[in-house]
Amino acid sequence: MDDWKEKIINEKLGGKRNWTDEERTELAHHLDIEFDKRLASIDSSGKPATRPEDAWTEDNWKEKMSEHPLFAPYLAEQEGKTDIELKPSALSEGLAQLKFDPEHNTPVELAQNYKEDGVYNFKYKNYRIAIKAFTEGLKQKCKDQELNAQLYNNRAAAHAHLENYRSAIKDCDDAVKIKPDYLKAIVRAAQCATKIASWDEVISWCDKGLQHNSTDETFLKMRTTAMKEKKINERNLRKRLQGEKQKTAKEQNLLTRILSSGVCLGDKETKGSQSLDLSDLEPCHPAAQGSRVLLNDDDELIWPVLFLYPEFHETDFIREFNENSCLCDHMEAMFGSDIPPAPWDTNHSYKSSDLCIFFEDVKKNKLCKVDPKMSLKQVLQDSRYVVKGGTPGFIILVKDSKFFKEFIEKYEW
Amino acid sequence: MKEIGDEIEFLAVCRTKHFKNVKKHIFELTGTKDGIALLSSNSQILKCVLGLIRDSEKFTAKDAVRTLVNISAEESGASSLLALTEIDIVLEMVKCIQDQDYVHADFACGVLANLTRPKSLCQIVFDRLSAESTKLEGLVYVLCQMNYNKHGAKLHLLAPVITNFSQLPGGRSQLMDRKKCVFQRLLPFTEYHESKGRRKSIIAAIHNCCFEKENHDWLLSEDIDLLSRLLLPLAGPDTFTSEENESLPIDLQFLEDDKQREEDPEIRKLLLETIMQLCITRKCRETLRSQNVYFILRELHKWETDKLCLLVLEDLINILIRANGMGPDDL
Repeated sequence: MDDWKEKIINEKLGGKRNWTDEERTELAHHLDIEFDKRLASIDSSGKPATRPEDAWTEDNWKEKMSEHPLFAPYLAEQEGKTDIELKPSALSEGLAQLKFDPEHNTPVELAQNYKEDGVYNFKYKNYRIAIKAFTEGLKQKCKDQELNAQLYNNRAAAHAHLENYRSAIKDCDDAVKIKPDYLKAIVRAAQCATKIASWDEVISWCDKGLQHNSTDETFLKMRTTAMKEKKINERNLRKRLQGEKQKTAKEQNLLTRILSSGVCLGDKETKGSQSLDLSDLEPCHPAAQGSRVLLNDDDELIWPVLFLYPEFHETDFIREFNENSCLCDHMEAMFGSDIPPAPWDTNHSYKSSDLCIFFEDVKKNKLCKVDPKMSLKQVLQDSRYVVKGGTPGFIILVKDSKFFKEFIEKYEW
Repeated sequence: MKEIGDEIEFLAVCRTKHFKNVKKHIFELTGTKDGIALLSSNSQILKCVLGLIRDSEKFTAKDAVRTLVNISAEESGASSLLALTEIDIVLEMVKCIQDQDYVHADFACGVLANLTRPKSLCQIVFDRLSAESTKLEGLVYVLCQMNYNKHGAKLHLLAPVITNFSQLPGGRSQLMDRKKCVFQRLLPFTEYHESKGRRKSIIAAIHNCCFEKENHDWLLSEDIDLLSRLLLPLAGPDTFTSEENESLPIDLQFLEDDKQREEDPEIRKLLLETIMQLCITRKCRETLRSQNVYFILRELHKWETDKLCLLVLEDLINILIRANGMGPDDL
């Protein structure tokens, strides 16, 4: 018989071991009376039957609850506080210190505790805190490799939730290095690689997984998808490269065509014709933005052309001037006898029959007259003509007008 | 010759140490048919040679495996090797091949290739292989990994092994296991320029796999996309319009200007014959037509000069441009 039972029989029951039913009933009755007396004595000692001093009351229960290490997180969750550093109560801090104290715990225990901490925070979606916890756990470099692999895998999961897919893959890699058949980590790595569309990596992870389970449908499916996406990527790259190549060839062709027709391009005379590129053809004039010279289907150059009217500080921009058209045709279309005069032509003096066309010979500061019957092509071939900003320009003046006479004073004849 | 044989046997039975000293003689013996016949008839010697393939002394091991290669090149020798009871040559060779650190893995592949070449022995080797955990899929995996062997062994000779197995119905069924990833691994090698031997063997294996028409639907499905891999070596630089390009299989769209066609006419013929094989059922003919295979073949026809290839090519083109509804369902 147990010691404590012996003790009670000897002390409380006078050592008596054989009881009749009557004696038992009497004892029970006796004990009941004693108990009632006890109860009554508590009541009558003056103090009311109170609860313990630090019991929670209706007023202070919430405050007390938020300080209690066990109940605080539940309260926080109820109130919707997630992923913030909860200010721990003194008691919580004390417990935490004890849990994570290196002096009281072995590395394995510490790692285990950090893992628990991390998993707990992960459950409540506090991923950053979870990552910190797992990292601390790994820092212990404990000897339990299974645990270390789990820590890496768990940290990978947390990273994945934060969309840090690269970090997740790195952690999966570390987990698998420790435990090559860690299928959970392999699957996760393949999924993360899929998220960042790194198809070669997906395929390599799937192959790793298939090594351990050759009929695994998840891996087979991911691998097939990755192969298809890879093909599409390669095709898109080829298409883009071909497009770029064609564009470059076309532009080179344009440049060659222009230069071979004897046109002088550019502001800088120092630039040799070899080093000219398409930027020299970009128009600077605001109206001409976006209209660059081009080659039409009949292999003719179509130029953007500016007509300048210095008398009124006005310009006209002709978007498409075929090199084979004559200047006089355009003049006729713009200033012909049946065309209303331009708004700035206050004196109505700009009529095609009265107009002269000139261009500037910048080198020699001369004004060169242009025969309107010539085509644009022929004019551009003139060795004195330099196309600036990819836009040939011409000065239009009314012949023998006052302005005309003043204007030509500026130039040498 | 007989005296040497007796001496060798005596030494072989005695101590391996002595045996090592005569290994050079053994190897030289394999230079002649008689020598091989002599060695083949002596299972003790064969076992000793096998025992030396992992010898710590590099040249001993190398000579041992090379001896096995030469012996297995003769059908009688191969037969004798397979007949060894205490030691399984297939298992030993597979172990060597699977071992990433085994320096002489290429020779081991050579042995297996020799063992599987005679039709009568191929099934035996296949059955033994299937009984192990590696199985055919294991060999395919090793073959298709880049830089599997860490000591520079290329394992190209593993490809003819796969080809030999593809001649067996059991081999084909394992190669085309739909629940696993085996056949898919072979596909990229139709354009493998590093080794003509490997490329040819794999294409031959694929050709054999097209033997049963029940598999054609699966082979032409999007998941496998065999057609693209067969056409790619036959396609040249892009000469199509944008619309034509978009109508081709993805792998064949917008090919680069320096795209080279398969230079070996035998391989080209093999590819064309494989495509021809896929035309047997009406459904597959429709699939091929809808993928505009004709465009690629038309361009090939302009470029092709080999007579045998042209014959197959023209037949193939005729089948494809034949109007719908005409002709029997299955050719």
